[in-house]
Amino acid sequence: MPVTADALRDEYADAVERMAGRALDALAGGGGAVVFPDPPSTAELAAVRVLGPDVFAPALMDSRPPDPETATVVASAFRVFPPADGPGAHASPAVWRDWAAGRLAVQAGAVIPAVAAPERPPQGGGWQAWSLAMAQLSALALPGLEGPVHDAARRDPLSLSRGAVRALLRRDHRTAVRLTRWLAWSERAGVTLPVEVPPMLVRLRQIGDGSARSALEMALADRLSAESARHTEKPPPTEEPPSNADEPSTGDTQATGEPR
Amino acid sequence: MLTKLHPTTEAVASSVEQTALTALLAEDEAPISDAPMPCPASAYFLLLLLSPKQPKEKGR
Repeated sequence: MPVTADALRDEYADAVERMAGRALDALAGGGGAVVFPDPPSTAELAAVRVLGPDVFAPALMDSRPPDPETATVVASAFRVFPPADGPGAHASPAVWRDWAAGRLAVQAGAVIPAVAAPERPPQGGGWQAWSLAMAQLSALALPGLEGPVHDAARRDPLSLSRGAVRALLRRDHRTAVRLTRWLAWSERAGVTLPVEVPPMLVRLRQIGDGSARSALEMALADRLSAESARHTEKPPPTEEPPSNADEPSTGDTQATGEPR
Repeated sequence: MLTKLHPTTEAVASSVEQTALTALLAEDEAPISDAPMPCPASAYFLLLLLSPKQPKEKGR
């Protein structure tokens, strides 16, 4: 019986959900790596290709180097599903995911053919199209991963914020989570944002779409946001400030520490 | 002794498999929003229920 692309796509989508669940378990466990089936099936290798750099997320979020066993599976996935090549291939945002996953796998010691980085990150088409392209690249929003896409995210927090708010208003949960993950990553990188990330995360938790893939994106956004909150936390004052309760307060003292 | 074999060469995916994967790799945004839509029929029913009765004329 011939297998249609639609049936295969459903099978691969199920495998992606299972693989995202495995990554989520590893992330929640702390200190672990994604446990892969041995040997992984073709559908599971396709799932690894779809998740891309996110299969390394449990290690990277704990500031550990990429896991060698994960890199071996990524190398297998690249052999079975070679990255697209050719004149039109670099137009797809997916090439950036392949580039990032390949780079992390090589860093962990896997032997795979290098995936050439596209000439430039997504650009043009206004904030709406750009933010959608960035949402497709949310798997790159990981600590320890740097490149032209990250520079682009740092340069334009306004478009990311607009895209995230638009997706929230459209109730497009997955796009909203992905862009909020970029926002959390940007905040962790020291970028000043025009929106506050924690209330967006609270809202996204309330309207989750129930898929493991979105839950993984959400968990990573949560972790990035928590880390940025830790980084920006002010140290406790070393000396007790003098008590000026009797003196009238001046405008200068109130101006400090104003909310964004 | 049983030996666990790790295949070093896997078969490359067919074009159908590649097509299925490509569809998953580039997920677009949700095509339509599922924002709450107005439902006129139920609104009319509510209006009928909540609307006050017509005043009756007195003195006839």
